[in-house]
Amino acid sequence: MDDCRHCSLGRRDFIRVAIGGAAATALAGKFHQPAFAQTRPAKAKAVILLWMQGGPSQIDTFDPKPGVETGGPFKAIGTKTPGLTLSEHLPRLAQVSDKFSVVRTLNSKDPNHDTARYLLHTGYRTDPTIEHPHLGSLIVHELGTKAEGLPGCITVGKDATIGSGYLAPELAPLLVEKIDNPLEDLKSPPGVTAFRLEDREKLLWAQNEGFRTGHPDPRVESQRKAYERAFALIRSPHLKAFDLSQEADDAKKLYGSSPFGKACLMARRLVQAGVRFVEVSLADWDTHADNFNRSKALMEQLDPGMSGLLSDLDRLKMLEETLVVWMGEFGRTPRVNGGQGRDHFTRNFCAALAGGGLAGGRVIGRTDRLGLEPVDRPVSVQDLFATIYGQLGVDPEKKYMTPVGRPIKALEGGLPVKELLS
Amino acid sequence: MRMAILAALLGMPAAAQETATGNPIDAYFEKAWKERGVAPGARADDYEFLRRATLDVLGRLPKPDEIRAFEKSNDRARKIDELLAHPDAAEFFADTWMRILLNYRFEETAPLKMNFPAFRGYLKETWAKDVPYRDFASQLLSDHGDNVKKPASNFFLVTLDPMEPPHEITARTTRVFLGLQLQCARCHDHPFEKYTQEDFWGLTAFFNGLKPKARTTFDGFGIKLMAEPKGAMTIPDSKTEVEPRFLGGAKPDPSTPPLKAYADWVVGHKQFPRAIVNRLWAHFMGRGFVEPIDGFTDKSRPSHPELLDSLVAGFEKGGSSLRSLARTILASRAYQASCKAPEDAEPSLHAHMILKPQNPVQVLNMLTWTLNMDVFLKQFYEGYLKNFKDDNFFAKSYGNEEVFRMYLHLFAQGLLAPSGTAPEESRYTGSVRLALKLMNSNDLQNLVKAEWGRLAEIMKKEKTPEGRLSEIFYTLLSRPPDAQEKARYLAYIQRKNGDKKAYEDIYWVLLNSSEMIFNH
Repeated sequence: MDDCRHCSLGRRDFIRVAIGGAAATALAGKFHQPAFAQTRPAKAKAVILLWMQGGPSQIDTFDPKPGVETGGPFKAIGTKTPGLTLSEHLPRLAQVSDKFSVVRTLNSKDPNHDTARYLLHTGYRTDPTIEHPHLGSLIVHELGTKAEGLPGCITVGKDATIGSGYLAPELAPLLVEKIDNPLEDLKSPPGVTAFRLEDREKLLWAQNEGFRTGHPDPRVESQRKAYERAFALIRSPHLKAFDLSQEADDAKKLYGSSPFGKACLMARRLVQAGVRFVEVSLADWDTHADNFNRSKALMEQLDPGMSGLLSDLDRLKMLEETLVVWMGEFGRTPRVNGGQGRDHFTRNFCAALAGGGLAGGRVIGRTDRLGLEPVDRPVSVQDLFATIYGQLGVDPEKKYMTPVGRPIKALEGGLPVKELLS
Repeated sequence: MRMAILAALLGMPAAAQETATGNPIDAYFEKAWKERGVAPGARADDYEFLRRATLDVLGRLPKPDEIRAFEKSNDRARKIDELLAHPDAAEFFADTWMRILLNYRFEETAPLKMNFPAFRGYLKETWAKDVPYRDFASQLLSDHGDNVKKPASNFFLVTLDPMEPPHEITARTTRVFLGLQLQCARCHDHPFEKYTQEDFWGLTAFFNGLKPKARTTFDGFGIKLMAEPKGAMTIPDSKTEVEPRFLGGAKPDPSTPPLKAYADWVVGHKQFPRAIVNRLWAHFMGRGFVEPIDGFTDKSRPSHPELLDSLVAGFEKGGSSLRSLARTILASRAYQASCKAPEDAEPSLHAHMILKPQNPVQVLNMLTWTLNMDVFLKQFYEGYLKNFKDDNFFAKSYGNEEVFRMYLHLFAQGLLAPSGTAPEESRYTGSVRLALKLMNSNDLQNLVKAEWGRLAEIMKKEKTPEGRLSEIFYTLLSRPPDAQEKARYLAYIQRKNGDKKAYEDIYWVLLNSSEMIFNH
């Protein structure tokens, strides 16, 4: 009954709701027993999520099937990892395959973009009665952040539209839309000097003071805080983390010149500055038509960007404490449609994980000859989340209280993929 | 009035005063406030009232000439009637119900499943003609066939998921129209409600056989909603078969078509008027009798049960007119109370108006007006249409203002609170992203220039610092500046030697102020 997970109305919740109030909270504390092997000491301190918007084809990337009727035109190439081949368009990743592991049997039941994106960002199915937090928001809620003035969770690239859910609004990912103009909304427009901004700020606080005294509402306070954070952000000493021109040419070259490569480099700079969670998105994997040409073009961005990121993190001794996750909302059908495209497919698709104390150079799960079914070791989305949370020392069993007083766990179900734990 | 005197003479109890204003809300709260020893708050002044009522009914700010007209003739009852009959009220109703019926989300494939122009036109007409809410719901729940001739059928068309049995229709229609949360019962008997999984699928069986049929092309325009009832269906992952049946087990009359039977059941349900009265009350008053507004349960204790009952009775007696219900609420003393409240005010007593965050539609309208974005949006729309120029496949479904509007609302929603499910709460919560946009975005800031946009108009129309300051206040905060504000900003303008940049700064400050973003 996978479908019931969204309800998350377990017995304990029932007791808590039925009794209500502080007594129940105390009682529930007694019920709280961390599940087996779920909480481990933290190994990772930061996360970089490489989000493949649209759902990348697993057969054309990390689970190639050359020579069979579902295989498509791409050849497979060998890697340093025993049992792992990659698409011929991922040659640089193949060279650093010892740094990451691949899960080939991730699966879900959700073939719709919006809801699957939600699932792969929260660990939960959408539910009209509650909004779950982005995993980055939850991680920042648990671990805090270190970069003064910067938000703990930043999304670079296309709008991911998942927010902080039932957690505080300041935990929502800050979106940096334009990679070539990352400071677009983070710096004053031309003509507004630092002095003028100070004038404006003084006038604004004076204007707000009048309203605040007559309106003792927490939302007014929340609005004031949002502006305080915005001013802090504009003046943050860490804003230079967004400035790629400070990087040496060698480093820039390593990541490639594509927007995705630049975003990966920016992610590394942000993590260096102390940002806890950075999401970088590479859009356009929704290849219902012309899958092969489009996937190839995307891999030409992905390959240098991701391999550059892993090598660079390794070179800077940051990989051990930085968990890098590659995934999208689902995979694509092995069957090629009439438009040389592949459609949505959820039975088995790929994720790749690197660093953050996880083992590299491993491959989890195997799919059948045509890539139609997992042969062994299916991994659920919840398992993937349990693995991620576990590396950060976030307890998946921890309960939060939503604004309407409903208790909910960080994650419902799921066990860490133990083959990845080094 | 005569009744009240008569009542006083006859020594009748205070309740008879109800007839004095004729407003059941006033009668109720007068008594409630007295009983609880609450001093009713001050009446909102004319500016506060006009801004609030215009935002709540038209979804936008009042314009300076509308404010000036109201200064001259401040008859609130007449203003309420004017607002309810205003064409912008129909626009706001359409935007609001588009969001409710699409579950506050906009899937990018939606325009391939339904006809946006036809559906939005239908929603606008519903308000413009004051169609009884009962009829409106009935159409949405039972109309089928051609989605242009029967535009209400677009609701089911967009809700149907080709990959799933029609359970989303069950969950959404009971939530929207009855205020009940049944979706948990899709997978299991509800743990603390009486609903069982069989109840849920018994309702879903009414929609078994409902499917879209594309007439010619694969687009959202020429689709027919086919209602070929199949009756009994099997609960997924089980062997249990359920016949169409209502909550509680009653069976429909077999001679009535299933959609009709379902619609009749919904509009006849005791929750039907309660849910809409609660929804409208929450919209205007900032808080439902029951919260969340679509979460009625057997254990729900409405904050004011007798008032809810009496509004429901009035709503049913008045032919379920949404306009009449809105008028009653808007005319009440509670609605017209000032938002200024002491620290310890209890919001649920409505002695003071509750501060309301703006929703995405209101925020978009607010930005469009204050930044004179019309021109910018027109260009943006033309650019958007270019996407579909040589691609006839999508042109019809996506290349129209109604779909473009959804994208804009989605954008505004993202500014307020980025969210996946985007429930009712997708309102202003204090997002840094909106703050940064309003503070810095080049696109928007180019419109806060003395040479361009709304401010340019003001600079041209008014020549004195006082005149300009006043017009800036009317445009953004819908009121003149008070003495303190006047002194502060005139001093600032003087300090800057009357430079146009000083006006830009003031415009920027008011645009970013708390008073601006809240509906108060």
